[in-house]
Amino acid sequence: MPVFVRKTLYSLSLLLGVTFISFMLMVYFGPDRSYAIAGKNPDPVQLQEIRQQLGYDQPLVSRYLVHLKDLATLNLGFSESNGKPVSSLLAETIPVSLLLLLPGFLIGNLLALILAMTAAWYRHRWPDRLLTDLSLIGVSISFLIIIILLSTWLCTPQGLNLFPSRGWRVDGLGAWFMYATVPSLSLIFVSVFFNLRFYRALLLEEMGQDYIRTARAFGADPYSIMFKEAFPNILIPVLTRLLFSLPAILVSGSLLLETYFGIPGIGKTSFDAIFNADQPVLNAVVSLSAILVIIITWLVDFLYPRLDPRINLRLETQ
Amino acid sequence: MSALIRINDLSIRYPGKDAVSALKHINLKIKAGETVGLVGESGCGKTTLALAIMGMLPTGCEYQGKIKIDGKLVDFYHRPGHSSSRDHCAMIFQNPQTALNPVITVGKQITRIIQRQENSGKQSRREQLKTLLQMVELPSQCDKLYPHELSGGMQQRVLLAMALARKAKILIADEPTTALDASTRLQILNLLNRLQKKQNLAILLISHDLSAIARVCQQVLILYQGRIIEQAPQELIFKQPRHPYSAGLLAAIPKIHPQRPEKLLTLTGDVNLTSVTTGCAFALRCPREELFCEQQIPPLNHALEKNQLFACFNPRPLPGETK
Amino acid sequence: MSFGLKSLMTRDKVPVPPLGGLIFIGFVIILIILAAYPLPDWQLVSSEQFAGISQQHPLGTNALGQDIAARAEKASWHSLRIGLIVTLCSGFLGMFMGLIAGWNAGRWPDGIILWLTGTMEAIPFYLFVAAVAYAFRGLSGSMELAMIVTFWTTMARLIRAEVIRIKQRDFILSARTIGLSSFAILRAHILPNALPVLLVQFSVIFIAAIKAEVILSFLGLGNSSTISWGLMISESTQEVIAGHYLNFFSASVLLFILIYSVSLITDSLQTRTDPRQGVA
Repeated sequence: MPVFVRKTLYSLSLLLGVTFISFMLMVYFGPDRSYAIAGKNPDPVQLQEIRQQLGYDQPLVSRYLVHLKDLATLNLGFSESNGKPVSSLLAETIPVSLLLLLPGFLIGNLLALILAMTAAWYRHRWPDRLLTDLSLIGVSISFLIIIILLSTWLCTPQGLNLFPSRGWRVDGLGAWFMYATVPSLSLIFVSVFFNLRFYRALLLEEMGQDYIRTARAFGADPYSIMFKEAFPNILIPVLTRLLFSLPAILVSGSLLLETYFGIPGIGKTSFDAIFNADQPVLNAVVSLSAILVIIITWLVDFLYPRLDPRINLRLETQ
Repeated sequence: MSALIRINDLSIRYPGKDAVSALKHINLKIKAGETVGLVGESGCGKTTLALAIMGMLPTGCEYQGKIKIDGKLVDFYHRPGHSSSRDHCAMIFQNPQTALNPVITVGKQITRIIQRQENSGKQSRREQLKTLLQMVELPSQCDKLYPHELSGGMQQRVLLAMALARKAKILIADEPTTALDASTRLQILNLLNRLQKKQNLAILLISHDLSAIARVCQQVLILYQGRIIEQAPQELIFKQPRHPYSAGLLAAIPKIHPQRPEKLLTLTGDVNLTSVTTGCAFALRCPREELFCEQQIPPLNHALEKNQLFACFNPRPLPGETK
Repeated sequence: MSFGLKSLMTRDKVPVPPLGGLIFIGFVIILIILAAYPLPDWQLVSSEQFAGISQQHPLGTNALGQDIAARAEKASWHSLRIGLIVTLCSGFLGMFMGLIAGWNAGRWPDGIILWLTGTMEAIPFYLFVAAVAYAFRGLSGSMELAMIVTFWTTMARLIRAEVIRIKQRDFILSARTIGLSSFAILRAHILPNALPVLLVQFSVIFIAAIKAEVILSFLGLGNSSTISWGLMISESTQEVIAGHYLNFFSASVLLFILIYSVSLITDSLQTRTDPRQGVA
């Protein structure tokens, strides 16, 4: 079977799996909406009609197929809590989440990489030990604690009171800076310590390679050994980690951050949807993140041969 | 002519509780245009010597002695502001396939070194790259290729081009031909020879391939357990090795057209690095061992011929001598 | 068995770094002291609000006047309980999945398990918990259940890879040629060899479960019938703004000590099992 076909089949099966599980949990076992629609003291006939309209009398498989058809035609339905179309809700909230999360995520990873390079260069000497010990302490502090400490310190009269403690009234760069700084700092803190040890381990392995010895023998300085020689060789695992943590950051990470800071992004929307039993919204978010995962696996396959010329060779010889 | 690189009484100890002296009291000099061969079995300290010259031993190693290049003392720790051996020396390695960065084209790897040497324009860099590839006899289209697309011999040529780009006066070649097949081996050795003549390079050739040594070296050093035990011009050492170990090493080379079928000699016993002897390290394996060999370390002495040095109390007799 | 538990403890001649273990023991001692101390009931409003540190209330009281020390103790046990349940269930689930997949690598059971791990990893964790909480509403263990069915995937992947790696080694081949059954080989050869990975992954799951429980109960997705660190922290966010830190610090310091000690232990296990990361 050609690689392309196999990959397509796998992606489809993954999508089916995710949508089926979310369908089962949220729609099939989910709350019965007929009572809410029928109002107080419903009469049984009316209730029966509503159930029919909602498709509750259909067998499981046909209900799932209808659900799939809706997803495939991007007929995401309407939010049950505020009646807005789910697609426009997503279009409003996703950019907010991206603006909120991406800077911190990227800066955190960049910082982790630079610190990991420092640690790897001073392997087993004090800068390395300090950084690895610190990172273990760092990963042991809950994201929640960091958010509370930082916001108490920076956003309340108890501390420096520099930034607004809640909300997202962003109309320009300045306002964005005001509202995004503290959440971003929390995210940077977590990303740095979550990734530092991983990047260090990658770099240490590269530092033992012969080509690094060659570079040193030919007079390369620490900067070019790290960035020009070792870095291109760890790009694949680094990108893998970055890309595959993106869906988790976008949905799960934003959930806590946006709820805490009251920012109307995808996380806050999901949080509200959880508490309002808003199935269409939840289903859309779950399906969207599954699609994101699938896009990432394709992206990765497209990128890797461009980052490491040997991968092409391996594919050709297979 | 004075020596380009001069090593005085160099000793190296690796760190650790049961520290091993990897090199003991090494003296060595190489003139411009000269090739010195360093021979010895695995673990005798050949590569340690090469890495010590390059200042690339792991941190924590203890150094003693001096290395002078062009009369200037070299800093073992490559502190900024000190004269570093890496400014004058280039090194090529045993496994060319892993010595090059796998994800960067060879052209770029060479160009990086050109750039490091001088801040020249793009055009001039391209031109230099072309000449360098020509000098190491590689087709100029090679610069677009990645290391894994080249053969071992071609990879070694790329490393040589990098050494030339470095404008190194001293080339340290650590087993440069060991990983190559026989015909490529010869080509690389011949190339080394030609480059040396053209560039007036000083070469330290580390090898256990004695035929390679015989082909390109003027001086030969034989290393045993971190000590030089014999040092002589190439012709002398192959004709009349004085140290029993050198003799054993030479006798172990198979000849293609032997006059009569002979049995290859093998050295008996094993190298034991950690056992501390007060005497000659080879004594326990030596066929010519005398009583006092185990008590005292034989110094590296001149024989009658001024240019052959050996560290043995009971050397093999010269042809014509009796004993 | 060169990769067994015994060699894990003694390899490299370096003794197990005692710090992680000591901190963990410290954590347990704190719990024992709290348990031995005559504290009011954790639910009881036993004093005025925000009482300071006193003999009766060693950590003061919260906004309702409930004893923080008693709540912290109860929350710690709650956290430990969830951590252990999730770790054991999820860990063993992952182990069995990994063993089955690895042993049948390339065949259909492997395909199904790989597909299942991929699917579970593609669903956002918190939404999944919410969905499970819905589907099994009324069931008190829905949060634990959600963690168990999501946290096993990494373990399964690692064990699968380990089994495939070990299966190709010579001694497994010889075990097969003398006619040992699959089960016997798995039990006698593969499990002891995979033990280091197993142990590291168990503690990784433990940490993940503790952290997730705190965030989930902070968000109100946890078990609200008991007290937990997440709930304490959730209460304390308002108190902190008013300058009352005792509730927040009690919960977060205990949380940190527990996670840090287990992280230290995990880390030394990992350095021991992965020579590449080890001390040179």
